[in-house]
Amino acid sequence: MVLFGSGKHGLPKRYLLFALFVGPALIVRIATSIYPVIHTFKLSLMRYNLMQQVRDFVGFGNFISIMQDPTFRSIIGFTLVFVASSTLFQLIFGMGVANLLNAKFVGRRIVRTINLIPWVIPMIVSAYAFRWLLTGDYGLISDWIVRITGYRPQLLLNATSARISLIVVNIWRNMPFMGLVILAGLQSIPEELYESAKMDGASWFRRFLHITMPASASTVVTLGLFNIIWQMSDIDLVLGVTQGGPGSATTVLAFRIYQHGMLWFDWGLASALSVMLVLLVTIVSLIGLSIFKKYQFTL
Amino acid sequence: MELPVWLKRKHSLQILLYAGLLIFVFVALLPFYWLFLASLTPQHQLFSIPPNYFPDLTLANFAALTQQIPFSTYLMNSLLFSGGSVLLSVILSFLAAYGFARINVPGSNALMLILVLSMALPPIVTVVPLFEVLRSLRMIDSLTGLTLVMGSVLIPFSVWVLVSFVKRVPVEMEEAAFMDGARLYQVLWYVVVPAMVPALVTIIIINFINAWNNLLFPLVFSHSVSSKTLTVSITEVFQARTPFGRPWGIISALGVTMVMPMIVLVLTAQKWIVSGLTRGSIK
Repeated sequence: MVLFGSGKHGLPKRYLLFALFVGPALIVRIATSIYPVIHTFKLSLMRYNLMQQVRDFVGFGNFISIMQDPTFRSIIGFTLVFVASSTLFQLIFGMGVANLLNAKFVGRRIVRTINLIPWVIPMIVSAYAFRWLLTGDYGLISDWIVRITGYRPQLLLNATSARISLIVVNIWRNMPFMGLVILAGLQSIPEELYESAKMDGASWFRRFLHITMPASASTVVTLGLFNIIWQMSDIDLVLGVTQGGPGSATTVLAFRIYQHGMLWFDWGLASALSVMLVLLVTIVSLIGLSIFKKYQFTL
Repeated sequence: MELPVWLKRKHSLQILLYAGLLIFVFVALLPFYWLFLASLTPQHQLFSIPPNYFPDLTLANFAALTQQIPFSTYLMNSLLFSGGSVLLSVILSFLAAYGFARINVPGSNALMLILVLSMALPPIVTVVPLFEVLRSLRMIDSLTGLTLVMGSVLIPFSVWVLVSFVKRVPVEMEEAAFMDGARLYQVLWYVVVPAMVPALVTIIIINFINAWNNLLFPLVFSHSVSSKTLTVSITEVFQARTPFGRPWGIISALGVTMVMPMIVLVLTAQKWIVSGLTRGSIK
């Protein structure tokens, strides 16, 4: 519903009013977010290192040295695996959690509250807690594995198990949020629609694809997508659970930017990596926008 | 005696449901439970192998917290940082949301799309240029600089949520107020804000949670006790070593003090948080 439409307010006056309301938020966003990202693109073309005290133009030099670095390929590879497997399992488990929380049982309110807890506690705190649980010598989860298999694992010291552990912790953290969002979708669907689809023998996956997805408000898909993008941008998890190790086995792109920029002060290289992260996020966003188009969603 | 088929099916479904719930609650709470128990465990019992499932209980770790780190300063900084970011983001977002929802000008939708999509820009990408910006403004290692940056990050989501709530406020009330000769700021303050209280409370809570949990900005832009927050302090305590290993006693005590306010918020405001996250589509 529009209050200041046409009529007694002319277009110039409406623009002035609009600028007064929207301007402040927009200026703050441009100054602290949009301008810095554009500036990053400029810095990515420079050799800019605080330790070596250099700041000069090198063109695509940073990108070339990134491409030639074999660890970079493994970092990109792990970032993609991390995002893809986290997303997949969060959707699957989120679906389970949503159905669980949608069922009728005693104490549903408190369980729905508990569902929010992994998401509201500071990531760095749960990351350290998991690091401890997974520690080889005195961790709780390690202790259970010893009791069951008789073999003491060093989950965070082995590249593959460290990677799996990191992904599992990430799923633990974001699954409830996904569940909540899918629950919102489930609750907006008329019961009969689901029942008749079940009668017709549609699998849960088809029901999800053809009923839940289209019927759930665009909110669900938007939040799901942003949630995936936020996971790609997050460093707290890696910083807390593995610090990128062993070696650089669990280093994701965002964490590499942090290392180059804030630990090794190679701002040129950090900016070049940032450009790549922005590209990756853009690709995911474009996939998201195509979903939006397909189901004719609006923001 | 043989049970009828429908009863058996119903019972096994019930058992499955409660088993699922039990596993879910256990998994969701495990790290927090362990942290909580550890914070009450004497330091020397923390490093036993196998882990001590039933330790003696003590408050020594919390006492150590206040003695070994400037805990009250960090707590104050966290509160000022979170409170300031909430204030900045909610005021600016409320005004912007009102503008987007109520003023019809060409280009308004495109501008809102850009603003909301800027939510996707990874904060880590902005950190290096922001360092230069904040340095030139003399806002490195300052709560003002941190608040400005964090407040800005919270704006897109807040606008996105608030616009949908403004649109649900009937426009007739505002029109009537204008008819009676009220000025714009009076209409905003006496008509729109009261109608938006639930939405505003919701977004205040969500933004507070986000700012309270933020590690990146204070980690990068704070260099001294004067602007470091609790999230940074836990990473510093983690770096320290005791003769046994990491000081898990203090880490867990610090973790518990950071988690507790969030748990209280969720317990009291779960309904509001959920309605905000889903823009009112779950009640």
